[in-house]
Amino acid sequence: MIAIIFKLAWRNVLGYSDKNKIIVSIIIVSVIFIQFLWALSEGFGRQVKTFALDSLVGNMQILHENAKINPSVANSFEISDITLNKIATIQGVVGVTKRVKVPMVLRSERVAQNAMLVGIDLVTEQKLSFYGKDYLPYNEPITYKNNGVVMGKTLVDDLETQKNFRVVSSAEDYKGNSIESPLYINDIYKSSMPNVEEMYLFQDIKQVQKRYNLGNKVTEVSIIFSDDKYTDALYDEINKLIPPHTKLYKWGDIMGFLKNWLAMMTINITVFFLIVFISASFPLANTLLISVLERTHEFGIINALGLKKFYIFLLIMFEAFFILLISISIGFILGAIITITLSDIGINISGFGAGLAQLGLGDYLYPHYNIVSSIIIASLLFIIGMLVSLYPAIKASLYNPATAMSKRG
Amino acid sequence: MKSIIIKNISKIYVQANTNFYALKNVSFEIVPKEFVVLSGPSGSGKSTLLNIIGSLDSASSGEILINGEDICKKNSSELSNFRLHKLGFIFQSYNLLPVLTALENVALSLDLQGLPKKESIERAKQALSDVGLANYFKSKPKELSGGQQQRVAIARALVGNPELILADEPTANLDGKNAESLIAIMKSMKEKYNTTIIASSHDDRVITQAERLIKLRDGEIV
Repeated sequence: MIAIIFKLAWRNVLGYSDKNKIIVSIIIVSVIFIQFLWALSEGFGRQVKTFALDSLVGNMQILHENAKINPSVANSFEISDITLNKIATIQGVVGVTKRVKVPMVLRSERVAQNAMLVGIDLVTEQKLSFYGKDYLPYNEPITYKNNGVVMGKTLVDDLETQKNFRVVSSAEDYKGNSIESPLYINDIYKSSMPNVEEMYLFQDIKQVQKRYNLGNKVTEVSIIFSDDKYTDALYDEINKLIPPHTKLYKWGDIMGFLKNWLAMMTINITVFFLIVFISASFPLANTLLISVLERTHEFGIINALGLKKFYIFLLIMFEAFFILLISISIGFILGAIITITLSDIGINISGFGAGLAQLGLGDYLYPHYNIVSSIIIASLLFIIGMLVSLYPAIKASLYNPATAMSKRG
Repeated sequence: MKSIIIKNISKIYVQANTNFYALKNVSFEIVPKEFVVLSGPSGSGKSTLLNIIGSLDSASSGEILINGEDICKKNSSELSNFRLHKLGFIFQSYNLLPVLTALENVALSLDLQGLPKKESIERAKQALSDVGLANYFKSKPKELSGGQQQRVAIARALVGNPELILADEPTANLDGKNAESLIAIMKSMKEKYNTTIIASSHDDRVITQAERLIKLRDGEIV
């Protein structure tokens, strides 16, 4: 009997193709839309997080215990190469680098501007920050010689200066003395993160340590993992290795605003998708219900011929199964094609202004296609579709045949 | 089939807190292989009575004993089985399933009875040939004329060799030639399969062929 019902359901799906095309189209669009939105929100979260990790923070940082209260070079510390090597060889760690960050005021001929000089290790930095990945590998270390710095394009523009010009820096050294020194703009870097480009200038760490009387001291050690899951997993292990009077911070502790913002976004996105799923289920239920009610007469006929009510229920559920299977499969494939294509070329969001740039999004938002998420979305829609089909199926199966046959679609 | 005994069947509809009797204490008996016609004007209760005998609708009170069993006491599942194995229906508006071909429409009730596919197809082909539609096996209902659709409906009603055929205004939508052809087919099929037929009609061509006529007016036998 099940085989007959299965076949009859399939014939009904094909036989009422005009009506079913509408239902299938609605579901396909819903699957594409939800899949794309999900990829967009995942891409958004990932970009913001990547920004957090790439903008000289890393997954973890070792800072002086007072650095969060006073981030000057006075709160610097020494760390041995042995310790750095130990951390670097822990499984999951991709790279470790030491830096000196010096808050300063830069003056050009016309303008003064707050900035942050970052002294970097030219070798170890290469695996880590946006600067180490996008700039360093393509430019010679000679760039940093003779008090030379590499400055962000926005900062250069703000200072109304240009490449090969000189600016004067004012900052405190390790002992609290005010140090004024010229810095030569030997090169200019660009970044997809405008606020980073506006803040940082880079120099070889040895020059910075020497100028500000730091000896071998550093102001931070940044650690990057192959996956952010190690941030929690490796905390205790790394914490045992850090020098006295220092503290190990997770990226979320350093960028508290971003961490809270991401948490809030996760809640918002979850609620949003809950609403989308529920909203999508109403038109689906309504369309299925109308489709079934239009055919009440037909269900009356087969009930009159001797088909039991349970099998009428099953017939409608099988029809829903076929419709959902076809439409969700098509939507799944089309959604994947659209999302993967857009994840390569990105979506231009420059029109949204500086607000999103503050989160590190740059001009383009890249949806992140995740097949597991897409399968979950497709499965959820399938389950919701089958659940909302229960009502019309039960309704149709409860008619007595005479009443059902008296109804015309 | 031994006999059909209808005892004090009433059907009451409640409209605006008022009881409306579609059937009022209707009683009669039908002997096996009889061709009975229920006649009467529109609204007299013919179709309602036919639906109740065919277990498509329930009676408000009374008994319908078929082979000694009161079908009014059967549950939905038992009634489905009863209709599947004992009854054949011919409706005024044919009531064929639009997505199936003529052959599939006829074979469906055999499929539902659990007959092997090959056998149900062979019997459906034979039934369609018996009603003169040997060349229309693969035609969908919308590709057939009203008369041809009604003949498919007759083939579907007879193919399971039911003990009782219920025909509700079978000629109402047919022109004169098709109506006469249909009556002839029904009579020859009745002879061939020894089937009891209860038809509702106010068509004289059907009424004159009846072995017994039961007249209804305002839900009562007159």
